Amino acid sequence: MTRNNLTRRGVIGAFGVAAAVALAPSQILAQDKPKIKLGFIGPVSGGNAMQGLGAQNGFLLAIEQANAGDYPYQIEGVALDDASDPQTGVGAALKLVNDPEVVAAIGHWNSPVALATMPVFNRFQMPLIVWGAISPKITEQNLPEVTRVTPTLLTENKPLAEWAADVLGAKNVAIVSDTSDYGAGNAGAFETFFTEKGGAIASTDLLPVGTTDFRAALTKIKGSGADAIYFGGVITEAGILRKQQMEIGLDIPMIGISGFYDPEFIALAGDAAEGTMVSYPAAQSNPRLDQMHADYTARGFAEPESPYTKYAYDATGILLAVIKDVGIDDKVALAAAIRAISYDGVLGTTTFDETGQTQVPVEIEIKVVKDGQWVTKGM
Amino acid sequence: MDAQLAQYLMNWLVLGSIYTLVALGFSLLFGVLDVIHFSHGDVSIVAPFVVLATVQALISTVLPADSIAALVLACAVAIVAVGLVGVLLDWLVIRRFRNAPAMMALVATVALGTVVRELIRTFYPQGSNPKPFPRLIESSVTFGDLPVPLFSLFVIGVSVLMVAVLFMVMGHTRLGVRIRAVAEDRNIARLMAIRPDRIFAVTFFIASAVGAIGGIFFASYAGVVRFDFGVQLGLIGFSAAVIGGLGSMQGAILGSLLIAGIDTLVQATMADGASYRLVFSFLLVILVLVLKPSGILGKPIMVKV
Amino acid sequence: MMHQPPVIPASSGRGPVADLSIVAAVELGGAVVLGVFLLADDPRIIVALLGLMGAGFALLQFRPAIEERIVAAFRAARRAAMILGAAVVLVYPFLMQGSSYALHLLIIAQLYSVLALALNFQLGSANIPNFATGASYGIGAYTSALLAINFGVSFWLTLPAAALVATFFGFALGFPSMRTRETYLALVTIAFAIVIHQLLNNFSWTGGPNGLVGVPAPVLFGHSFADPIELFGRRLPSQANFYYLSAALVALAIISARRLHDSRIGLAWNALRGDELAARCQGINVVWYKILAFAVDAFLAAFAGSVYASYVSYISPDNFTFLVSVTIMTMVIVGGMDNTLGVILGAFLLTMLPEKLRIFADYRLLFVSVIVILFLILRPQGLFPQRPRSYGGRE
Repeated sequence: MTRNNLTRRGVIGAFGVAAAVALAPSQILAQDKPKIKLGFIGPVSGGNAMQGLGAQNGFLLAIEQANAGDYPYQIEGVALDDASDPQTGVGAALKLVNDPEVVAAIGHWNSPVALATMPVFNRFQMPLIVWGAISPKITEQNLPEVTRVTPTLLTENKPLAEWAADVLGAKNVAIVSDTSDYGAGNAGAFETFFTEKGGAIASTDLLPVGTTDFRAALTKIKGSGADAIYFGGVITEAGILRKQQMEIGLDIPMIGISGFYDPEFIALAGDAAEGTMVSYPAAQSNPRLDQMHADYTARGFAEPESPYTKYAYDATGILLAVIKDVGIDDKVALAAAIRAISYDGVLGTTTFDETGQTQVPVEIEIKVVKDGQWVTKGM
Repeated sequence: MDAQLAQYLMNWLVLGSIYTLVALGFSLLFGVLDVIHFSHGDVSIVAPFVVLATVQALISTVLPADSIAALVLACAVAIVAVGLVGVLLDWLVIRRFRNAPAMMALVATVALGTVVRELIRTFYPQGSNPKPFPRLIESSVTFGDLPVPLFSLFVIGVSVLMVAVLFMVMGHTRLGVRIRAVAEDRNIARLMAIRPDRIFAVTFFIASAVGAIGGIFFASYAGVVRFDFGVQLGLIGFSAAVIGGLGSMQGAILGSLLIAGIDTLVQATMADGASYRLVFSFLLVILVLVLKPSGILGKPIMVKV
Repeated sequence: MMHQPPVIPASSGRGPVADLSIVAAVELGGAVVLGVFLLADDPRIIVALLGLMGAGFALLQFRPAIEERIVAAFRAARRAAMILGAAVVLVYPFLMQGSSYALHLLIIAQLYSVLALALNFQLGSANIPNFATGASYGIGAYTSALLAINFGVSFWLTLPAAALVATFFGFALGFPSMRTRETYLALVTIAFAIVIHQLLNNFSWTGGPNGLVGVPAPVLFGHSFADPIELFGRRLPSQANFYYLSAALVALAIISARRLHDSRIGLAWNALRGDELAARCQGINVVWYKILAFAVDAFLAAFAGSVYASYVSYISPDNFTFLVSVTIMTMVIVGGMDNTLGVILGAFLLTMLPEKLRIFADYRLLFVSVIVILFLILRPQGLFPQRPRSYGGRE
């Protein structure tokens, strides 16, 4: 079945059963290789679909490239929707662990969904690499099957807070975020590190997910005399916030972590985006990442890249590398090998610490919007 | 401090105006058809997408880029198109629940809302991603030393105008008389040679078209639009219409101003107000309905003996 | 559970043998269809089964005599139907080929059956709209999880505690229902559900948006529910524990539904549904029975919440959104208001459908919603409509 490799075509295929069968021939060419499956779980429908679809394409891209090369197995990618809902996520995870051909999986943008499915992967000893969820609770549990390729909230907020205090010279920062695990976690982490550096927090405004009007919060910030805004959310809200910030005449720098380092942000905020600054892991400025961008464009996916495409791409790459070395029979050994790996990918050199958290170096560089483009700012 | 207060007042009025445009649709549909059209918010948010698509089509063919005409024309197209979408949805789905219990229509239209959202997401190019939406009017005027965006005044003005027009239509035209007749008793209206089906279609058109203006303003005020923005807009519009009193247009306005007011007030005055903005808005809803069970200006439920 | 067009022609004669064979055919046929549906992974089989089910429902729609005959058979062979049904439920996990995915779907379907039955007391029996069943579910789950995590209270004690707390909230929510009605009451419950969800998300003692991790599994006579069951030389995945637990809960809900239906309370609720004013004139304490309906709903929903929390061992506010309540409401309406079997069927259908429609990838949500709308349009009375009360029909 290729239905998961080619989502959109697969759907059309499922309308008429005959069409679904017609998609099969691509497999016949490579029948001499043993066949395995890799799982992907993420939100590919509903409000977070843009994150999930971008990552899903990264996952499929990595698999297609392996299949095109001389990889010892023929791989099929099984992509499942978790709809940002923990219960749906558990269903998806159980579907994967019950399929004897699925060897390992990558998953989740929402931390609550990851936290719900981890016990399942743990019970069935199936390796899971988290590509998007960033709550520290995920690796705190230190389940042997679970590793994560995304930096936690701590890793990126700490150097950003230090940079804001030392280089930017901010004294009094207003924090704006959403109340999701991502937003609230970022806001808390930044506050901790910034106050450690002696900075003051002018105000903290966490708004429920789905808020599209930040003017009341911004008006308050304007009156509070803050000298910078830290935003802890994702692209859509970042774009809205920046636009409205400029509109009410609050001309102070907006900073954040790489969650909204995306051309989409500039498209949304328009001219107002000018001067926005985000931290970005320095290790990710490498030629392999440029190659992935090019391959992604060449592949012609229906959806554009998301900031998480590269994480899913590398998570899949790590699974592929380990399976090539260890084989598919001993899942405990697979999980152990993932923890022990040193993988050169688009994120830089990924190694995992004793809790399964990536140790990609935490040096950041600052990207700033200049003339409608993200450019690297000297530290 | 005065500037800040003025800013809050402005936010409140603009938000209240946008909610009013959406709440009016809920109220009108309930008053005339006795139906809760829970997908009204999602239908309204179709409008900004139609605007974006039309602008793109226009400037790539006949009109020069960044022409105001394209935007104005697109808005007109969107308002009419969304009005027709409302009529279409009624014809396809909602009319089948005319005589069903109220909760069936409510559940069906919740599902219908999901269909509308997922259709936008699937068929609009890269519909999962948020789209930047232009300010309808960019410039601003200055009162004293306080800059006021013309757009805000425009939103308030258009809303007031729409309300006035609706009152005019309902109160002083033949169409309005017919609509009110059907709302009162569709069978007797039929005896008076009024065809209820036509009136229903017209009502759906008006409600959806007014909602479309609300949707365009909402997107323009946020600066961005995404396929699922209709959920919260619809929920708030619905709540505003209900606490104001379903079927009462004055009630819809009052309810909208109340909800926008508590939202702004909580965020402006409470330390952790922003994270609790929905909590307070919906506690207000509960409180109002406990005190006034059929909304502030709703007709009290008659218990006939 | 899953319904199957009967093998026996509707015209076949009456008599105990015919009744028994109809009951057996329907129950076993339903079990087989459900089993194949659960274990199928091939889109062709899934589409074919969906088509078969659609045909079955169409048959019921256009040939009401068949439905009448089945109902009559079940009424006549009541005891046999119950024994056979119980046997099927008990044996079922052994037939799932050790698939914990299939068992998981069965658990979730059964928990939603309980929730739908809970809501049915209000919506079905008394026509009181309630969009806060999901909130009661959440209150139950959080109470149970907080007690277990913070104080190490045993699951069997947190279960009644959670039910009590949720019932208290149910009473609180019931108060506005004294005066508001219909759409206005629906909005009160919607607002309540949103407020509870937002509070669970904002408080720090509920774990905030990240929820509560590590809810312990129940232990019964030294057997932890996290361990597999070894029985008759067969090994069932640990999910089987929760399968039997949730099956017991469904049984409890069915028995309460029956008992309440046949009691003065059920009669009072039905009277409320018929005409509130007439009910009041009959001397029925309308306010009390309305509030009672909210309390019963919350009580049962909290049970389901506790089981869910200990089953998945993790809960977060996202489990208990307003949409969950809408789903439960849809289950009751699609299944058939005030019909126990119909409501359970609705719950099973709407739990399985989104999972099986995974073959449509990111079009899943679209398809589920379209199917729900079609159901509501084509069979507005529900799969199994409510039946008139029958007096003296039972020997």
